[in-house]
Amino acid sequence: MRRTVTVGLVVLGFALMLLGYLLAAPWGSSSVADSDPTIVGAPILFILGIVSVVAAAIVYEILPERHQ
Amino acid sequence: MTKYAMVVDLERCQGCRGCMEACKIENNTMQGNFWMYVFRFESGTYPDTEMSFLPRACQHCDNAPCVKVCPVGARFKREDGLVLTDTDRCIGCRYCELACPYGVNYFTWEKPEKGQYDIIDWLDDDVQAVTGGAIPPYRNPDLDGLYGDEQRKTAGGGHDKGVIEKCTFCVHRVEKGQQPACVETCPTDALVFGDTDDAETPISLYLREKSTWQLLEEAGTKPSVYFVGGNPPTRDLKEIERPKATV
Amino acid sequence: MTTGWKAFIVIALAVLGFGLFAYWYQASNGMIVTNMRNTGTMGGATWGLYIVMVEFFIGVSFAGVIIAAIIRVFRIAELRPITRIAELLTVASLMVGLLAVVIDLGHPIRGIINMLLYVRPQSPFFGTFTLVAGGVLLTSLAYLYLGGRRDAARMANTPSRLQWFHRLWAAGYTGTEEEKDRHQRVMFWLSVGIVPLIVIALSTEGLVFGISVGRPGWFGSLQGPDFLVLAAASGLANLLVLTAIVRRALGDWNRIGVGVFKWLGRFLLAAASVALYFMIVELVTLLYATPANERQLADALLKGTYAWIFWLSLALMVGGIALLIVQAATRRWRIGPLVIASVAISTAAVAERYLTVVPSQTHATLLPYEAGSYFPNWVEFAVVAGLFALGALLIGLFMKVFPIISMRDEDEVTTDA
Repeated sequence: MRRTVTVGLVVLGFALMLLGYLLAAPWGSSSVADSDPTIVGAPILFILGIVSVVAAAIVYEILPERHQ
Repeated sequence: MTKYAMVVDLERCQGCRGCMEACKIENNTMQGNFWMYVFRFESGTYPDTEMSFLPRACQHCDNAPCVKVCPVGARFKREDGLVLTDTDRCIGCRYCELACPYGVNYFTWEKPEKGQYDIIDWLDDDVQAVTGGAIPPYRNPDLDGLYGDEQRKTAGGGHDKGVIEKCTFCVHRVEKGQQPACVETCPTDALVFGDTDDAETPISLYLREKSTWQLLEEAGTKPSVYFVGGNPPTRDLKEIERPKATV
Repeated sequence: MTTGWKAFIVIALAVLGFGLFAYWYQASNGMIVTNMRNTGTMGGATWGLYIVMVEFFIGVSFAGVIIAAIIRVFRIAELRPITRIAELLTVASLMVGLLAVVIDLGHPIRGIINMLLYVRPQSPFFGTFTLVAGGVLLTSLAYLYLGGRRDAARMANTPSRLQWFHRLWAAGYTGTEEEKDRHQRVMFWLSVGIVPLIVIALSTEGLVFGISVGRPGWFGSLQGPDFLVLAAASGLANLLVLTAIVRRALGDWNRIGVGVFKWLGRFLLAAASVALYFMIVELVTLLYATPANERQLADALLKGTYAWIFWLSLALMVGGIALLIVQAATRRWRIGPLVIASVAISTAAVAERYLTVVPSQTHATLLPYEAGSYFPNWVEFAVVAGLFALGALLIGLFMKVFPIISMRDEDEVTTDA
């Protein structure tokens, strides 16, 4: 459970960062004219990705034990 | 397609700085801001000296370093070649100013209405006796419009404190089919502006028939401003005088 | 509350208050009240003391977290007591440094919003925003938080006004073997992760200058590494000074022994030597600078307007290193001289940052504009003093609500070694 959630958060985090980066950078164009993110707010995804990865460390450590 | 560019014919330029004046009046730029600036150089040693002039507007580069470094896309390049500033987007970091090798960006350090030339104190009693208390508009209403396919602000002078402004090739005039103010004013027709994709325009003729050079070609910025005659400036040139440019 | 403590709070609050006043003055009148002006025809510097201090503060944050990671990964038991001081220095200087970025913006609020909505990966500020403000700050906060849980749990056992805070921080930590194992695993991976993250993130601070062709002396691949090297030296110097202050404030001569300073002194000697090496390489290059504008910049630095700053920074760096070498050679590390060396090296770092940022704007512009000038005025100095006071208050208040030195025994790093 703990492991699943942590790995899930890390994977989600990196996926969000990648997605945020892909949507914020103008791929397939070398023109300086392409200056806006494909989707406005894409950088928020990147930041959320970082939050998710850092949260994974905290969740892994403080998630309470289930059984006992 | 349209691709705007400017030719500066240094064989015609006589250094009168009329373009600087026209630009200031058209764009209501603040004290010390010269979107169009004319260097007046002197070279050689007395008595063998020579004067030369170099008008410097924004070069509207095709590979504009300012567009590249702008963190938020406030500085943008249009399909027709104009490099403009969305003052509603600009956060005032001034990175574009440092990335630009030509020094054409001007930050609005204070409220634009405060930074205007105070040649006449419109609130003075004697002046008010003549004007009847009217304070003339210090800004051109055309500058507030949204232009181009993008429908964005273009930073035509005196918008806001804390943003970057620079030469727009007078986009508000160009879109009405007029010439930029500096070109319109130039008494010797040293400045030529137009569409280089149209082979019949005067600028295309110029580019076909004269050999041209560009400012700081080695910087790889691919400027849209071409110079005819004269020589590229070197760092050793000295300006004859310096306008009161500090505020 | 001791008198010293009260005096610290009063002075820090007064300086912060004056800084806030100066910022309010700037925000309401525009940045015209600073000495920054446009480059080119106006002959000024458009980035001034604020950006210099951004570079300095973010640089200082580098060493704290690296030292904390080194202590954990290499298990240097002697340095363990200062782990939290190091982490705290990172967090505080990052916060202050990022605040300085916002202070330098013409539109601060819009700046934060538009960075979230539009920040472009093509601009080096993407790195500052996502990796430094997001990544490094959050990771160091997580580091500080998780590293403090054990102490929080203990504090929560004693009744006090802050019991609720410590209980919240501990988040159910009880100290079972399983929990300790888990904690160690997390800290190890965080340490391993944060080192490359902070190297990449902080390199973008140097890249801000390194990718610019528009200024003499900026374009070059060394700006990133140069930033890191100076960051390491100035960060260690500040960590050493902070440790000395904490030691004095707590009167805890035993927990922070001279051994700690010996280690920090050695690290500082290594980092400062590399920084000096970079400075000398730069000096030699300046002496031979040939392109006309690079030559003019070199003249301004070596014998012109900025010469006194250049030679002062070099002298401070050499002096600081000499003081460290003497101690290393005699194997007698004393806190007084160490602090003096640290202050010298840290001041040299500020001066170096100033020389990176300012002269390339006022001198030797690519078009033949006349040379300009820039020196900060009282508004800029007051705001920066306020930033220092804010950083000191952050650290000071933390010390009041939480043990700044990890509690002794069942030392989780060393027990299993």
